[in-house]
Amino acid sequence: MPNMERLSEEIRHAVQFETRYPFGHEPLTATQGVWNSWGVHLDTLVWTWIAMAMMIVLALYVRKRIIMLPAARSPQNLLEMVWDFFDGIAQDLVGHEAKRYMPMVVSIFFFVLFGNLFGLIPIFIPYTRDVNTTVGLALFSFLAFTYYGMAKKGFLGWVTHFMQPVPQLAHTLEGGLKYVMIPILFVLFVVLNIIEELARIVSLSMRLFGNIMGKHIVMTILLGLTWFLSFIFEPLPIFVWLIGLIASMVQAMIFALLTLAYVAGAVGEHH
Amino acid sequence: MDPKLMVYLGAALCMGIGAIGPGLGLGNAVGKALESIGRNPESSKAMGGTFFVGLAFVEAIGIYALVVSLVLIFLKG
Repeated sequence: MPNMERLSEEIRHAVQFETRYPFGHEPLTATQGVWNSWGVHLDTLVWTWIAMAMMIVLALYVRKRIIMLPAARSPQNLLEMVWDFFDGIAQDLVGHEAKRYMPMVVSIFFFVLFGNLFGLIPIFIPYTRDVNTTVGLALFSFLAFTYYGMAKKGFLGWVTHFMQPVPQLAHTLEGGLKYVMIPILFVLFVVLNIIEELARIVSLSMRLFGNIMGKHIVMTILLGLTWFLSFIFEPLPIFVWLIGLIASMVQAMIFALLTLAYVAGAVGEHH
Repeated sequence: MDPKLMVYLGAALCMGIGAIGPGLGLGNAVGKALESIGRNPESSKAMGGTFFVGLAFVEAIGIYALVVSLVLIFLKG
């Protein structure tokens, strides 16, 4: 397998906090300590900036020539299609408040989508295959739904949702059993709810990271086989590429949808 | 025994055992989807999006196993 050494180096890089410099440059001595202690992946950072620049340029381009009836294949129509898809789901989940959360959800979608799609282009670095990016995104998602929950329900309402099923359960208990069971249930459910909230960070970030990294590994191995298989089946890389395309889009959609669902759960009346 | 061998063995077992559950789940989901399309062919359009999202959720469980074995191999191996 030709690329195995490079691939394993890349995986090693992606799963740990270790600074790697793009273009093989050594850092300046003054910044070295800071960079190393923070473990900045400069290649990830640079490609994140490139993606953000591309997104801003695209958004400004569409914003400048916005029209009532866009052509079928115009960028505006594409963006509106994505917006309508998420808006439809948001309307179902949070009703008329959807407008408030939509910009965040669609921004997350495009940020993750660009990162995933970069993996399909040679030279480009898919920054979502870096565990640091996905954990950062998941932390942002966590902070967002915690903030929106607090903003909607107030601090007290937000705290009480951690003891959620206990008030309802308390009505079903009778007699002296009540005084024994309620404290036990209270502690149990508070701990469970806190773990549930924190597990969302892990599950969101590891799902995205694992999917993109796995896609990357599978694509590298299959494309490494192309030379051997091309005698039998010439257009193999196109199909490998298509699998990657579908996985990229589905994963971006899932990340945004889950963020939306968590926000909806945090601001909803009944948890 | 060589600790490195144990790490690789753990990673391989993690991926292998971790693939059983998602495999069963994916098979079940696709089977049920095909069954419902067979009964009611018009439902296939409405089902498409939810179906793929559901598949991705099931797949994610296998992906967690992959992440654990990657961490085992590349951080502990």
